[in-house]
Amino acid sequence: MMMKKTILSFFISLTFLFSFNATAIELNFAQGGGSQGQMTMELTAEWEKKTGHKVNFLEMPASTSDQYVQYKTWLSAQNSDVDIYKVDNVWAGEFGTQLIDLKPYLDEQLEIMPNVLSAYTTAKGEIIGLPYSVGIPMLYYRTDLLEKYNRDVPETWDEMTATAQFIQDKERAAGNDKMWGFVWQGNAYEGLTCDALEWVASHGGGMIVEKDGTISINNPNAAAALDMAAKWVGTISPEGVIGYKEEDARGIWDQGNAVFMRNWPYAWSLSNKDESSVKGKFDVVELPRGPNGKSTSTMGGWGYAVSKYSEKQEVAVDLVKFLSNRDAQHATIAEYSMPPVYIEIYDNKEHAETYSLLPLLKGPSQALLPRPSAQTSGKWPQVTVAFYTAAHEVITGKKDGTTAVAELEAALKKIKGKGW
Amino acid sequence: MKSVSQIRKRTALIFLIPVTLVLLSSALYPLISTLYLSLTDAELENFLNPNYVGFINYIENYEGMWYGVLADSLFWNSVRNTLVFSIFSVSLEVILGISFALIMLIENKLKWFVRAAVLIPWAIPTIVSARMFEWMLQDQFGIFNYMLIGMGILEQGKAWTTDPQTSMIVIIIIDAWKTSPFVAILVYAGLKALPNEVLEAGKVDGTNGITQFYYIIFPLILPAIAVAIVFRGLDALRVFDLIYLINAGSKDIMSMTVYARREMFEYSHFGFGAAASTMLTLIIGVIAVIFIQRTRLHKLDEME
Amino acid sequence: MKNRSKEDEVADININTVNKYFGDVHVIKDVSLDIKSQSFTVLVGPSGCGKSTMLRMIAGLEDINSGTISIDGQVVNDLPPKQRNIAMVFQSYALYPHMTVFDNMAFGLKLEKRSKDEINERVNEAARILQIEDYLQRKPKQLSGGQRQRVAIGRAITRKPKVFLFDEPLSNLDAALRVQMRVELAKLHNELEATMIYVTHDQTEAMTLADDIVVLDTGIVSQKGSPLELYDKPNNMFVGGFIGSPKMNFISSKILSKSSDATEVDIMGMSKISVPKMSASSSEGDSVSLGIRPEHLVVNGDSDGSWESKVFVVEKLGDVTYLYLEKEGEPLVAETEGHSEIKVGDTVKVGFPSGRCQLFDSSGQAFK
Repeated sequence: MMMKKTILSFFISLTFLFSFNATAIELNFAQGGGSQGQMTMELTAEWEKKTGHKVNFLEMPASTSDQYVQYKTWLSAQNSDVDIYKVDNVWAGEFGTQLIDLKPYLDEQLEIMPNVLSAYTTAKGEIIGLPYSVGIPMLYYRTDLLEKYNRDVPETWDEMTATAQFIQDKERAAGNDKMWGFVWQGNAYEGLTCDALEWVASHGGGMIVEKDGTISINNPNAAAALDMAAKWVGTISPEGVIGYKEEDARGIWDQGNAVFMRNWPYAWSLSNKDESSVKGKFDVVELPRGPNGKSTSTMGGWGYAVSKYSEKQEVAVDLVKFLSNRDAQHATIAEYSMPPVYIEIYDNKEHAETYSLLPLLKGPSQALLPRPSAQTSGKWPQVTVAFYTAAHEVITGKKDGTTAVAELEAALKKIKGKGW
Repeated sequence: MKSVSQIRKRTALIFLIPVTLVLLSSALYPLISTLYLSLTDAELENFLNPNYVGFINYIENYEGMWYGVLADSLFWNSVRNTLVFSIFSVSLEVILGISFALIMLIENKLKWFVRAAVLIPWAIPTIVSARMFEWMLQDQFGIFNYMLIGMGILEQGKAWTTDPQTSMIVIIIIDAWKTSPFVAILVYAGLKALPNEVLEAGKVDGTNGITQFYYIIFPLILPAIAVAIVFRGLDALRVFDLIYLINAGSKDIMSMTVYARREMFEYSHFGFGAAASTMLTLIIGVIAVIFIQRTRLHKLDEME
Repeated sequence: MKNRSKEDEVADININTVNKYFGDVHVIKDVSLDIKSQSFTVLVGPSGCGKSTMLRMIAGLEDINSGTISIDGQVVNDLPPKQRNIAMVFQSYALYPHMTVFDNMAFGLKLEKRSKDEINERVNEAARILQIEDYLQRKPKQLSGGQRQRVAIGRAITRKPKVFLFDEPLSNLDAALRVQMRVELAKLHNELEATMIYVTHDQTEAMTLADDIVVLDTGIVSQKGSPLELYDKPNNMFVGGFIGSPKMNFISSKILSKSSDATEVDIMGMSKISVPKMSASSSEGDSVSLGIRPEHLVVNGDSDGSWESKVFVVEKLGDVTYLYLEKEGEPLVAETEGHSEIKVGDTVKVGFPSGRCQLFDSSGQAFK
């Protein structure tokens, strides 16, 4: 019995010894899982080795809206247990007041692409997050089909619609009755806000709420843009598109049953896998434009932010800078195929060998438009719901574009209330 | 010297104290704090230190426009959705539940299999069955559309769960599938408790399957059915997970709880969301009281 | 004899070589019975003898494995209860708890789709006969046991069936009520002049109510006859021991000698008695059982055979006293006057009148 007690106390003191590294700081990092989460963990491991500090990853639910809710709960409770949050670029504006200004600490990060960094900059000029990837939606198209039917790569929405209809009809006549012209994201969720913003902005219909806070959505260009999308449903897009998110659209594309797809860059490497039916048969181009506008891609992407309530802010900032500097980008770009945030990396020939999409992204990266979350500050969640609900009502045929944008303007006014 | 019954009463009260404390703290406290929150302007920034604003969250007139939960057409829309959902799904569940219970009564070699099959939908967690149905009803790859197209009824796959016209029907069907077993078990217990000789007397008097059910069995299992309706009705009025999982953003199926949650947690309108929660509690409470009143009155007549 | 319309006619029942199995258990073994119309027939026997099963087979609530049952000349094996034109009164009354007394009695008629007037007439008449007119609007749970019993009978009466079936209807009533109801049932039988088949385990009910008693013993008919026939001339030990209360005494004995019209047996070594009964298959030296009812033993008096023993229990009932005498095996029970002075410990002599003695061979069959 004495022997057991001695051994036990020996092991207990050992554990105390190991957990008591007085100089090592422990950070808590909240992020979603998946391959991007994986990437962050790998980079962080390097940093841990370098600095001797330790990082605990708090894995969040897969749904980004669930992550959003959790972050909000923590921040509103001024939770000091979480030091670093991985944030969607849209949330930056909303959480701004709860995150610290990183500007004083930054060096090379100040050279991140300005339109990307602007999404993480508040109206007062504080930089409250550091992006590590940017989401650049594009038009994916089937090179083999366009060649077969001798069609050009479309530049306008009308051209895209016509080509899609033409090829779909011909393919179906030839016996391939599962072929569709164009797949995109039409479910009533944030993704539809992204797609619809592209239609509206590329028609010259504005960006729902302009930078100065004006509600600009009620105009004929915007109405025309929504009506155009409504016409796709059931003709070049399956009726079910009103329920599609990114993976649903990609599923159809992957089986070889779509001529065009609107999607994020992540689909590029997945569609080139051996199991995909479209491997080697497709390419990407910037999204089409409407008659009165320019090509627009709604900006996506994620970044890192440090909580105002963290008690280890200095160490946290160090990690966040590490994760978003050029070295980190170079280290992970090949394996994780994410569009980088430093403009010169797009020209990097070495990376282009493994990440073939890289050079093609440069053009579209200039057409990036962030969602108006900064100007609507805390009310973006309501604004996006109002917008995607209105868009959904148009594409499901419940309202026409003109009625929808007029009613949307009224709804937004009510949300704005006494001010953004 | 205290009498035995006095001592017993005291002991009983003492035993009740821990339970009451737990109930008060876990149920009463959140209820009261929500009520309080609904009277403040709590948002993300001032959550820990909100200001008292009276009934503004419930109803307010500012510059000619009405604000507040009671003025929000989306709120009333969700109330309507919840009521439609509750009425139809509970009705469907009662019919299915009674049918299953009658099937479960049949004595044959397959009895154990039938009973397991009837209970399985209820045992499956909501998220699993919701995803299951989502996949079955998916417009391009779902088996349901595949069969309908194969039979020539549809030309293209239909997006059953997101189409505004069909999403409510789909939700009702999934919920009925999931919870009929619960009704079936309650009704089955009621059926088993039926005195066999009464049924035999019925046979002697000349009942066949249908008249036996209508005149004898159904009136006697009405108490069990009433219990099932109360339970299922309250559950249905509170429905959240199924609707949230199938389509959290859709206006056509949004229930009161999904609405309240969105206000609270997605918009950070804690005060407003608390007011919405209070309203939904009130609505459910009123319906519950009315219903229990009616069924108890019904029971009093029989129990006497 | 009442004037009967066609509907009021009651029927004969013929049971022909009927067998019934519950799984592997053979509960009714080749039973054949004829029940005359308008008779009150009681099926009696201990628990498990098959009497309720028999009744339920007649009713149509149990299937028949082989053999036929005919009611009024028509084979009813495959007919459901309704089509056999029978009515049944259950042991637990089986009233419809959610219906009023009126509705309970009217239910069968309602299913037959009879007119409201006719239903009213029949129910009211039945209520009058059973004196339950005041309860017509009450529900069963508001009635006492006896009242419920009457409603159950009333429900049978309104149907004007060809046969009334009673399944131990009085078992759930207290003693006084049971006596009262017995009288009522007898009256009912006289008034309706209907065929009634009545199942009970109580031999007193059987003796008092029946025109014919059928004693069942584990699935076979032990004996069928009028109450007095069974009392005076039991065919076997089972019937002898079943009918009559207290039970017939059985004494192990031996044949000492036979003659053409009598058999001499010994009484526990104390005396011998010559009983005027014969059995062709038995011979001297065979073991037999001597049966004598307590009420026939002569206490402390003279008779044909006698025996002595000590009293160890005295039961005083007021009109009679029962003495329990020590003997090998079961005690001998003798009946004597109510105010007898005999007490425990006394030695008592009992006399056996030979005319009242029964003899049973080793297989239980009676000597005739």
